Amino acid sequence: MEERIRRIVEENARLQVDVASLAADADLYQAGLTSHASVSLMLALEDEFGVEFPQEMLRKKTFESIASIRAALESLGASVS
Amino acid sequence: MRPARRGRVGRQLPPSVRVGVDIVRVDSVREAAEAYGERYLGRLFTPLELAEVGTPGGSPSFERLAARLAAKEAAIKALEPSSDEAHLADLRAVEVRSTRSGSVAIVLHGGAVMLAAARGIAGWGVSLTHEGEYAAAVVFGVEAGHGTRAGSRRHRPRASMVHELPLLPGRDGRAAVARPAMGPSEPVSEIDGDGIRRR
Repeated sequence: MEERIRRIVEENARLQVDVASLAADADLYQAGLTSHASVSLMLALEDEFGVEFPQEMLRKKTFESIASIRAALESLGASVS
Repeated sequence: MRPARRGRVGRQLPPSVRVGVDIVRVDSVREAAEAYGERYLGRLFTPLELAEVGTPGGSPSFERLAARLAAKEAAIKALEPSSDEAHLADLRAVEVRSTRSGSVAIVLHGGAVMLAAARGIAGWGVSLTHEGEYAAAVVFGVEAGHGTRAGSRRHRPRASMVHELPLLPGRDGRAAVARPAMGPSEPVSEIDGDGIRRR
C-alpha cells in the first residue's frame, strides 16, 4: 500500500523533494505540499483506492505524512495489499 | 526624579484584527478542475460560488475561482483553528459571495461560524486580486469589543450569526474595503481585484 501511496503523492503533491527519499513520517507540508495540492492528492487517492474521504477528513492532519495518509486510508477500509 | 510608569511599558493590547493572506496558482485550479470536475469543485466551493463565477460560455472563470479559494484559505488562517478545531475549518464553510454592488464578501457557515464566534470576530473584510498565473486574497476579521458597536453585548456574535462585510466602491474605480456600522467609516485599504465593479 505504501508504494501506491508514494506513487500517488509523487504524481499529485507537487513536492520539491524526491518522494522515495521521504520517511513515512516525514512532514509533507514541510516538503512543499500546499493545502490546495492536498485536495488533488485526496481525489487521486480516492481513485486509486476506491474510497471516499468524508469532508471532515479534508484537513491538514490527514495528509501530513505518508503514514498519516495510510492510516486514513485504512480507516476508510481501503485494501492494504 | 519622576518615578517610572509601571504597567505601561511592554503592556500588550489584545489584537483587534485577525489577518490572513493566501496565494493560489490559477493553473493548479484549472488542472484539478479539468482532471476531477465536479468532484473537485464540489469539495471546495459552494453551489452559489460556482454559479457566480460562471462565464457566458458556461465554464467557470478559473482566475475568479482561484481568488475565492485564496480568500477561503486566508480566512481560515485568520481563524487559526487548533488541531482539535480543524474539522470546523471546512473550505465550503467559508463562502465568498458577490454582493449587489459588484464587490465580494465573506459569509460563514457551520463550523466556521462557531470558530469565528469563539475568536470574537464580529465582521470580515476581504480583498481579492488576480494577475497572470496567480490569484491572491487578504482577509481580516474584526474582533468585537474594540471601539465597535459589535463589541456591545447587544451585538456580540452568536454561533448562528452570518458574518458579512461588503467591499464598497472606492476612488478611481477601485474598491475600498470598508467596515459597516460596526466599525470606522473610513476605508482601511484599497485594492484592484476580482469581482469588483469598475466604472
